[in-house]
Amino acid sequence: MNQTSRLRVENLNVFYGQNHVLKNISLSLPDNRITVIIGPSGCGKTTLLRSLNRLLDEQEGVRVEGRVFLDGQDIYQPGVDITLVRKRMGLLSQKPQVLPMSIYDNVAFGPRLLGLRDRRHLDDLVEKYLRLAGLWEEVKGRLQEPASRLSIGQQQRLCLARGLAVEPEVILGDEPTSALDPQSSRNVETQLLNLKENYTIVLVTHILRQARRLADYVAFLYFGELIEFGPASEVLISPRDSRTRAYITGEIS
Amino acid sequence: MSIQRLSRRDRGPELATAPFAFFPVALAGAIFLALLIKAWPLLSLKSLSSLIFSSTWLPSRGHFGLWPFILGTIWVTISAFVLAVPVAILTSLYLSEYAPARVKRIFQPILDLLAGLPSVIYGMWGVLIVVPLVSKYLAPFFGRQSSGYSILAASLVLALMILPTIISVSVEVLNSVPLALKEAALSLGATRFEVIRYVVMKKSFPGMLAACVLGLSRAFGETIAVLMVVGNVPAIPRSLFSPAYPLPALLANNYGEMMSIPGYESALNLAALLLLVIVVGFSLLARWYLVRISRRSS
Ligand SMILES: Nc1ncnc2c1ncn2[C@@H]1O[C@H](COP(=O)(O)OP(=O)(O)OP(=O)(O)O)[C@@H](O)[C@H]1O
Ligand SMILES: [Mg+2]
Repeated sequence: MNQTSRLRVENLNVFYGQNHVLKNISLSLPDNRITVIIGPSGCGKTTLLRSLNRLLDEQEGVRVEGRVFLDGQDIYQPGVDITLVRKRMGLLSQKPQVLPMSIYDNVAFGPRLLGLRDRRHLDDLVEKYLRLAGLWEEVKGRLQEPASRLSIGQQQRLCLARGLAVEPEVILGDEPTSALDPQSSRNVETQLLNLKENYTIVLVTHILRQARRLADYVAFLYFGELIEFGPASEVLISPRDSRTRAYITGEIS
Repeated sequence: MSIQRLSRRDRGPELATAPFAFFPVALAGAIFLALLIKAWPLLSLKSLSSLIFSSTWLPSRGHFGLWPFILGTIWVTISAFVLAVPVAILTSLYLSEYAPARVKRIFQPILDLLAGLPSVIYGMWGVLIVVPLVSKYLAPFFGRQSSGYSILAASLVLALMILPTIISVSVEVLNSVPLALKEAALSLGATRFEVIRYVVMKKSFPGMLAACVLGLSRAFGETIAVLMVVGNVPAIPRSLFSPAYPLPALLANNYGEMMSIPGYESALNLAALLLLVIVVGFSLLARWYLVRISRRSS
């Protein structure tokens, strides 16, 4: 495997109070590939994803041990500017979370935080990223409308565009299609496949077929442990561990 | 959303409950009408505008100018509002966005307790603490003389009274902003302050405004605590350190006494009517504005 990884997890342990939910996870997420995290409900997929951009330690009562490296820098080191770390990773959540403002302002939100004010430049960025997320044609005539008026599927692609507009290197998605109808899901999946040549993508899903469609690499989590990680062709077709096999054949879910 | 077609069996409960829905409406109408009828003798003698805008209040000579009382109400209420709102917003932002769970747990019951205290307690506290504070420290500091019984004292007491209500409701509004939405903004690289400023505040604005309006409505009508510290002098107030005589205090102090003076009862009823119109008018305005902004943002 000759794969570079700018995002690496080393001996990660996470506790919610006394509850030990991630157990000594080590994982290198390959660049320009889609890595899909699968596993039964409650096994810690969301927790792992949220540890990657440090949303996890926004909460009270969460303890994180271990290290997460982004381009060689441990993002859990004290003194690291979390906002800069987060700008390098876009996040798609389960339900699309559009900001309470216009479609245009949603996409311009990140660039504006970075201090960009020039209207012409912002216009270009908004168009560029809406195109990249496959939404431009549908919304180009109504950019000033509140984003909440879009359909859920459109909202999720808007969230994608908004995340791309901060020019991240990594895209994180926590079951980003679970609230969407099949057509919109396909649409988001297509965008993700198109994007992977330029981004490192990490997706959580509990839909095995989606994993098969998207994954280059698969990580299987079970009760907080990383049971298996490898190329999709190996993990999903001929898994080494009996628990992985049980999961992908549907014996445990 | 209302249920469009009710089956026949469902009509019964509807018929049984509907009259109770009309009851409050009917009551409001009845109050308005009663006040209007009682105020009519005076209104038929003098023009409404001469009663509202005249500053001479000499009931024994038949002068019933309500302007000092109207101004007193507005001064006291608006000052209380201006004092309370910034404090309430900052407190509720702290409580919902920054405070550790421990602090929240302590704060909530205290707020409920404060919101439920009888207003006469606030009034006594005002007489004991706020009035001397104004006469001995605040007024001299601004180079004024004041007995302490003043608009400032009343609005400080009133601000304190409406604070718990505004804070509780605002905290609830702020807490209803989904965590996932805040996280979405955080993950775009916003700082926590930026999230509050551009997302939380924006999302909560209508609700916070409603909280403030709730406080303001309470302030307009608050009677006892205010009349204990406001001085009750029927003159046009000239500064925050002047005494004043808001409408509710006028009514509470005088209704039922000196009713033999011709026109006096009528004048007090007109005062009550004006208070009602101010409060209702204000609430309607606020509601209209709320509907307008919530329609625009969704
Ligand atoms: N905020 C929290 N406080 C306490 N425990 C939590 C919290 N969030 C998650 N947990 C617990 O941590 C474990 C892992 O949760 P997580 O959300 O990461 O699972 P998941 O794999 O994403 O599940 P799902 O497929 O249902 O989304 C679960 O046992 C859950 O109950
Ligand atoms: Mg999850």
